[in-house]
Order: sequence, then structure tokens, then C-alpha cells
Amino acid sequence: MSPWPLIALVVGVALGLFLGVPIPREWGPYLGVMILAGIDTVFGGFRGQMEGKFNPSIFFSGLLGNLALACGVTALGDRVGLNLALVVSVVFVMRIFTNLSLARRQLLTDWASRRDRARLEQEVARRAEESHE
Amino acid sequence: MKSGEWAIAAAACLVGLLIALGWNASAATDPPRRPGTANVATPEEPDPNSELSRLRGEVQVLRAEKTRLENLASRNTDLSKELNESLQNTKLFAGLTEVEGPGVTLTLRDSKKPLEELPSVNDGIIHDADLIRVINELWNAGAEAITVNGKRAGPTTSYRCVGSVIVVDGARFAAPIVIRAIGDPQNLEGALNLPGGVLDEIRELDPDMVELALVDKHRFAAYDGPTKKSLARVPAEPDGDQDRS
Repeated sequence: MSPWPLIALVVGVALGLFLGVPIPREWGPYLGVMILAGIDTVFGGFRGQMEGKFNPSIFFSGLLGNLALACGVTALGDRVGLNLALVVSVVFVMRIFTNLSLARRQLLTDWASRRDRARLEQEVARRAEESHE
Repeated sequence: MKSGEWAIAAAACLVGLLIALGWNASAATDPPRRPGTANVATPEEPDPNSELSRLRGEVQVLRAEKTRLENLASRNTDLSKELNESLQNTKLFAGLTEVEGPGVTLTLRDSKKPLEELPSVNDGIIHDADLIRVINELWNAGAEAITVNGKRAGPTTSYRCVGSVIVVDGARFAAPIVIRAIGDPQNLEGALNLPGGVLDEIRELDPDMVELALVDKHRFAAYDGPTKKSLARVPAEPDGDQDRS
């Protein structure tokens, strides 16, 4: 884990606050689903990295596709008078939690196996020393 | 930087940007919509003392007038002339004579904005409520005579929305509604332009719905509505049990 994504997040917030573009209140639901889609994609990226199957082109196409789909569904909801932004939010939040839990599992398993390996190597080294003596 | 981390960092940067923008959006406050009005916030009770002294002054004037009329009646020569003058004043007050004087002209028209730009279809239309509030504001600001699309407002004039038109004493008008008032032009203009007042609220939706002009000289026709009363009568004898409400 590197600190770069966190630094980039802080830079993004600072940039947004610095630009201070006024956003009409009606766009709130769109911004909300876009934020959730972005967070979901970032956590998905973490998970892919840990599982060793991260691919930048898949990552970016997923990001853009998720953003577009989230906005599209929200716009459709606006059109037909149904709060589809809420539905999209629920799905993304569920995915964020799933990705987080899988990433956590992977992280802990990796850590445990590294620890086991280190112990085994120590054991092997100790035995080798013993056999020398 | 490990492979692909720059991609995640870029996405995280985008998320941060969106969060900041969303934060700004929720911090922005909506301007107040139509029903809010500054007029409600200024209750003005007349001072009983100044009201009393005003009424006392009026009693003095009326007593003097009565004396003068009695004197004239005893002589009988100038009586009819005086009576006529008194009658003309009463008719002027009731809107039964032509009048002329300085004032303002206010035109209210329906919004020409496309419907998508308005909060709702109803907001782009001039309603009877707008007319009533404008006229109330004008009387309050010291208007002495008012016409609506050339129709003189009398003591019993009513304004109602009927279907797509506004009915003023039985005459039907569609927007644009032209309201003319005689009175101090600066006072009338100031009252109508009161921040948060009636015109302010309409202008907030679409500034083109309102057009206000000062006028040096108006000339209004007399009130042409019915003046007959079937139930109200002038009491023959003044008594102490008058309705004071």
C-alpha cells in the first residue's frame, strides 16, 4: 500500500474547493452517485491490485462506464419521477462494502502467510546451523 | 510508484474533486420562493394617541363645516354651490368622477421563458393574487386612484381568477395586465420595488414579467360599476350604539 491514492484524494478535494465552481442544487443527486461510483471503482482497483489482476485499461473503462451508467440511471429516474439515484447509491455502497471486506481478507491472509513463511525460514536456518555443529 | 497505482491515484483525485464540488453544492442556499413576503414582516399598529388626536382634529373640522353650512342655509344664496362642491369631493373619493394626476404605470405579463427554466408552469403566469397584492401595495403607498386595464377601481371592485382570465368587476382581462395609479410617483415606485416585495418576487422568476414606469399625468375614467346598495342604509338617527369594529 502506498500513500499516493490518499495524497491524490486530498489534492482533488483541495482543487475542488479552490476552484469553488458553484453547482446548482438540482445536480446534487448526480454528484452523489458519481462520488459513490468513483469510490467504488477506487476500492475495486485496490482489490484488483491485491489479487494481482489489476489492468489500467479495465480500471479506467470501469470508472467511466460506472460514472456514465450512474448518471444515466439517475437522469432516467428524474425523467419518470422515480428516485433511481437512491437505488444506484444503495448498489454502489453495497459494492464498496464488499470490496472493502474482500480487500481486508486478502490483506490479512497475505500478512499471515508472510509471517508463517518467515517463521519457517527461521526454523530451516536454525536446523541447518544445528546440523553443521 | 507501483504499476497501476497512478491509475488509482487519478481516480481518487477525481473522487476528491467531486466530493469538494458536492460540498459546495449543498452549501449553496436556495433563494426564498414566492410565498415569502417582506410585507408580512412589518406589522404597523396605528398609534392610538395620534389616531385620537387626528379624529379630534377631524371633529373640529366637521363642526366648523357644519356651522358654515348652517350659516349658508340661513342665507340660502350660496348653499347649492357649496353642496355641489361637497358632493364632488365625495364622488372623487368614491371614484365616481374622472381624475387626472401624476403616478405610475405597471405592466405585468406572463413569462416568455421556456417552461423548463421555471420552477413550475404556474410561476410564469400572472395570477389574480399578484394583481391583488400589487393593488394593495399601491393603496398602502398612498395611491389615490387606480385603473386595471383602463377599468377604474371603485370601493367594491374585486379581482378574481376565472379560468385563464382575470375578472375585474365583471370585465375579463388576460395578461398583460396594465395597472395605472395616481399618487406620488416616487412613493408608489418605492413601495412596489420594496426588496422582497411583490414585484421583487415576480422579477426573481423572470425580470421581463414586470415593467414599471413613472408617469407625469394620468387621466382615468370614472368607476362604471354598480353603486346601488340593497341592505346597507344610512341610519336616520345617529346613536351611541354604533358598530366600532
